[in-house]
Amino acid sequence: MSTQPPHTTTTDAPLPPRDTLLRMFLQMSQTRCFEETAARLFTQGKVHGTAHFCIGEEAAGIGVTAALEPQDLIYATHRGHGQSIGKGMEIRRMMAEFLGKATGVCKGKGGCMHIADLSAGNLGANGIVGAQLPIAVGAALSTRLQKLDRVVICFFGDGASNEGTFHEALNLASIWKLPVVFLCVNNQYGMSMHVGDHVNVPDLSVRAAAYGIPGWSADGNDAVAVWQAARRAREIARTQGPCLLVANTYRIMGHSKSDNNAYRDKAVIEQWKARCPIKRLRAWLLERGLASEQELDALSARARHDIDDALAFAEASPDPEPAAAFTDVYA
Amino acid sequence: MAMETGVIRRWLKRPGDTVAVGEPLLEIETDKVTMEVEAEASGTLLAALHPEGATVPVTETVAWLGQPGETPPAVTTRPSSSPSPAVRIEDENADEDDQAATRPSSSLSSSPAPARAPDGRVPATPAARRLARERGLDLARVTPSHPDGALRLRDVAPLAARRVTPLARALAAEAGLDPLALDGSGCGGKVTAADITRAVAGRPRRVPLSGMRRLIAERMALSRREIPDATLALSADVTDLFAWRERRKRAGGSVPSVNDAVLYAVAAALAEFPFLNATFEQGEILCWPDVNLGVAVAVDNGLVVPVLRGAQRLTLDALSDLARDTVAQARAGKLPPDAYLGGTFTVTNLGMLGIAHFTPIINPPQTAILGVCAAEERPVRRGGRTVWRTSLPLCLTHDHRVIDGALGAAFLNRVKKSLENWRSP
Amino acid sequence: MREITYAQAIREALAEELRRDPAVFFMGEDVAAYGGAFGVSAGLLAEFGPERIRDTPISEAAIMGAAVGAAMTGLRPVVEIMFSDFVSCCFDGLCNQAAKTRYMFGGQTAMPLVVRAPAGSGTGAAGQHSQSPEAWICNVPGLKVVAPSTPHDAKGLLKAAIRDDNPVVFLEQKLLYRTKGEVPEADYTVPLGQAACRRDGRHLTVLTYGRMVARCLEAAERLAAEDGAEAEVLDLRTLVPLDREAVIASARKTGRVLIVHEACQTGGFGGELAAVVAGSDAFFYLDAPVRRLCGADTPIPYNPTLEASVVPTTDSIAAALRDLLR
Repeated sequence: MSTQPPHTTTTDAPLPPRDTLLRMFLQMSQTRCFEETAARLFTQGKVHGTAHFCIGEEAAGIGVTAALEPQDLIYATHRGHGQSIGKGMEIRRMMAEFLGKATGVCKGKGGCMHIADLSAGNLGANGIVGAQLPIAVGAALSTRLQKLDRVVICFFGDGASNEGTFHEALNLASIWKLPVVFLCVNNQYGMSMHVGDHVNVPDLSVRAAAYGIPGWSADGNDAVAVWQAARRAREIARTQGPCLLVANTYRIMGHSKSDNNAYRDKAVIEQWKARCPIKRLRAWLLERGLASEQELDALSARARHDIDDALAFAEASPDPEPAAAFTDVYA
Repeated sequence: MAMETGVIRRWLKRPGDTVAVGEPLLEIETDKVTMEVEAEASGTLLAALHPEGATVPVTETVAWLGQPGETPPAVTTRPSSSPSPAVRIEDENADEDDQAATRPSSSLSSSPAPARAPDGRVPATPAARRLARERGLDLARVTPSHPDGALRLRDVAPLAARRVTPLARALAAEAGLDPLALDGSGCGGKVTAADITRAVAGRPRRVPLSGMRRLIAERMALSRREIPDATLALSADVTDLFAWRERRKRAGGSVPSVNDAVLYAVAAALAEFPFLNATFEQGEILCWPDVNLGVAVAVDNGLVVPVLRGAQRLTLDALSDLARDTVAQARAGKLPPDAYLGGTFTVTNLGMLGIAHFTPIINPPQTAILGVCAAEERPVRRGGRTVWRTSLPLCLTHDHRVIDGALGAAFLNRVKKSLENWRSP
Repeated sequence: MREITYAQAIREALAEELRRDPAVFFMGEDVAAYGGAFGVSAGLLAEFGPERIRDTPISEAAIMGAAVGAAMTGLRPVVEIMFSDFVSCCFDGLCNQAAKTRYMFGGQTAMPLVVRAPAGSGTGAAGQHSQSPEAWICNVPGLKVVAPSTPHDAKGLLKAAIRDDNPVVFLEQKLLYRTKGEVPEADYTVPLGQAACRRDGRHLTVLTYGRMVARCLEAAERLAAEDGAEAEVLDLRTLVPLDREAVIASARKTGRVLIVHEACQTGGFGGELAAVVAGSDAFFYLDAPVRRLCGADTPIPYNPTLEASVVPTTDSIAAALRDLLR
C-alpha cells in the first residue's frame, strides 16, 4: 500500500453549506492548536500522563462530525481530540480534563485518553484498541429498540481493524442491520507497525465485503471529501444498516508523547506535513471564493484565542478533592 | 491485710446435689464479712472436703464439682506451694458466658511445661491472648489442651474467671471499681480485698457536676473572663446600728439583721448611683429604674441568688421580712425559676463565717457586687482617747468598664454613711 | 407457598422485569427459540418477541460490548454468557468497559446491565465448562457479583440486579437449576449486599455461597446430631458488595471460621473473606486459625469420580468443621 492515499472524487455529491465549511475550518484549527498546546505542556513538564495527537488527521475527524446531526452519537478513539471538538464538546473542560482538573469533563479521572461528554453525544474515547466497536453496536441496538432517528458513528483506527471485536461487531451490526457507521481513520500506523505490514489487503474498506455491508475509502486529508463520504455513510446507516468508511490519512506525530519515530523515514513525515488538511481546506475555500483571507485569518485567531482561554481556565481550576478518587465507582 | 483463712460456716449444697454456675455453694466467714461462695461451674457436688466450722486457708481446695458418679481425686488437705484454685472445675460447661464451651482441662500449674516457641513466645489464639491480656494472665503458666499446642480460649477462660476473690469482688462493686483492671497480688495474680483497698485509697472521688454547679462554674468563669473587675474595701462604723438593734430586741418582735440594714442602705444608695444599679449587655450600659437586689444564699453544694424586687421602695421592716422569707424559701428550694432572674446588684455576706475581707465575683451582666464581712470591735482614736467601736468591713467589686474607682468609692462611702448615721427608719 | 425450581425462578424474574420495564431486553447465544443452553429462558421469545429476546452469534465480545453500549444509551440489557468460563472471551468488555466507564467518565453514565452466567462443576463438562470464576470478577472495582443459592434468592436477587444501575455478574449454579424451593408469587427483590444466616450456631461460623450452602447445612446438621456443636451457616448471596458486617459479627460471635467455596483456593474469594475476618476486631475473638475448604487448584476433570473429588463435599465439610472444633 502506498503512502499516498487513494483520491476520492467529490464532484457529483452535494457540498457542505458555507457555514458548515467555516465551522469545520475553525474546529480543525482549534484541534491543531489544542494539540500543539498540549504537546508544549508536556515538554514544559506541566502535565503528567500521556496523550495521542491527531495532528494532520483533523479532516478525518471533523469532516465526519460536521456531517452529523445533533442527535447522532460518536464513539471516539484514543486519538480523538478532533472527533470530540467536532462533536461540540466544551474545549475548556477538555483542556481541564487533560490537565487532570476537577472541572474536567470527567472530573480529572479519565484524562484525554478517556474524554467523554454524553451530553454532547460523545460516548467516549476508549483506551482499549477496538473495544468501542461492539459498544457502538450496542448503542445502535439501543437506537433501534427505542425507535430513535439517530446514527452511531464508531471511530477506530487501522490497528483496531485487526482486533477480534472488529469482526464480531461488524458481523453483529450487519445481521441486525443496525444504524452504525464504522469509521476507520487509517493513519497508517498501529503504534509503530505500518498498515502495509499489519494488513494484507490494499484497501481496508474491502473488509466490509466479508460482512455484506457497503465499504469504501475517502481521502482523509480532504475535509470536503470526508464530509461528503460521511453524509453518504450516515444515510446508508439510517436507512439500510451499517457500513464501513475508511478515511485514509497519516499520523504526523509519534504514537504518543514518548515516541521517537525510530521506525519510519522522517522524509515521509515531511511529505505528509505538506498535505496539511487545514491548509488544504483554506486553499479550497479561497479558491472557490467561499471565504476571504481576512475571514479565515479571523477564524484562526479565534481558534488560538479559544485554546488560550481553555488553558487559562484549566490552569486556574482546582485539582480534584482527594475524596473524588472514591466516588463514581458505583452508581 | 489480705484474707488468708476463712471459716466454713455452712454448706448450702450436699454431695450429690446438682449445682448451677452462680448458685451459692457454701457460706464462709472472714475477719470482715460473712459471704456466700458461688459455684464457678455447673455440675454435681462430688465432695465437700471440710466440715462446717473448719478454718481453711484461702488456697485450699474445698470441694469438687463434676459429673454424677465421678470419683474425686485424692485430696491433700494442706495447700501445696504451687497454689491451686479454691474450687476445681471438672465440668463440660465451665463458662457459659464465654464462647469456649468445651473441655476445661487446663489449670494453673507449675508442670507440665506448656508448649512454647523456641524464642519463648507462647502460641495462642487471638481470643485466648485477648482474654489473658485483659485479665493480666501469664500465658506461659497455662497448659494447652489442643494437640497443636496453641492455647485456646477454653484454656484461659477458667483461670480468668477465678482471678478475683469473692470479697474483692464485693468491695470492688461497692467502690465502683473494675477489679479485673487491677494487678492482683494474690496467688496466681488473683485480685484480693487488699488490692481493692489499696486502689480505693489512692483514688480521687469523681464528682459529676450538678446542674447548679455547672451553672455557677460557667457564670463565674464568664465573669472572670469578660469583666475587668476591681475590688474596693472600707469599713463602716456600725456601733450605733448595733445599739439600735439591741434596743429593738429589747422591745420584742422581729429585728432586722445587720445584713438587712446593709441591704436597706445599699438599696437607697443604688437609687442615687444608676451605674451601679445597672447591667452591661452587648456593649451597652442599661441603668434600671428599679433596684432588684440579688442576695447570695449558700445552699447544699452550691449557691443561689434570689432577687428582692423594687427594694428601694420598701421600708426596712418590709425589706427584712421579704429577705427572710426569700432566703428561707430559696434554701428549701421552693422558689420559682423566675425568682432568680433580673437582678441589678448583688449583696453577698460571709460575715457569719468570720471572714475579714474578700473579693466577690460579679454576677454578670450586673456591674457590681457588695461583699459584707464579719463585724469586729476595733479601738478607735476619738476625741484624744481610744474607744472601742464596732466596725463592719465592706468590699465592693465593680466592673471597670462601667464604674471607675472614684465612682465605686463614692458609692461605697454613701453606703458607709447610711450605716454610720443610723436612724431608725 | 408454591415451590418452583431455581431455573423457573430466574425465568420468572426475567419475565417480570421485561414486563415491568420496556428498557429491559435479553440477549445471548441460543436464548430465544432454543430457550438457552439450560432452558432458563424457554418461552420468553413467545411473550416478548425477537426484538427483546435476541439470539446473538457466538460472539461473546460483541455481546458484552453491545450490552455496554446499550446500557450507556438508555436500556437495561440482560445478557447470558452460556457458561461462566466464557467470560474470558469478553473480559475486556466486562472488566475494562462495563466496570470502568462510569468512573473514567467522571460519573457521566450509569451502567445498568446484568451478565447471567451459569457456573460450577458437576455436569461432566470438564475443564472449560465447569469453572467457578468469581474471583476473577470480584477483583474488578465497578462490578457487582451475585451467587444465589435458592430459588427464592435467585429470583429476588436477579430482579434487584436488573434494577441496579451498575454492572452485575449473576453467577447461576448449574446444579441448582432443578432444585426446588418456596418462591412468593408477589413482586419482591432481595437487596444486593445482604448475607442470609441459614442456620444459627454458637460454636463456629461457616462462610459460603452458591451451591456449597446446601452441603454446608447438611454438614452442620450432622455436626449438631453427632457432636452436639452448633455451626452458624452464613450464605453470602452477594460477593460484591460483601456484607462485611454480617461476616465480622458471626466470626466475632463464634470465634471459629470455616470458609467453603467450590472455586479454586489460590487467589480465591475465600482469601478475601479470611482477610476481612482477620483484619477486623473479630480477630481478637478468633479461637482457632481461619480455615478454608475450597476447590482444588486444578481444572475440573472429566471423569465423574475425579470431578467430585476436587470440590468440597458434605463429608469433607463435616470433617473440616470437626477439625476446627478440636
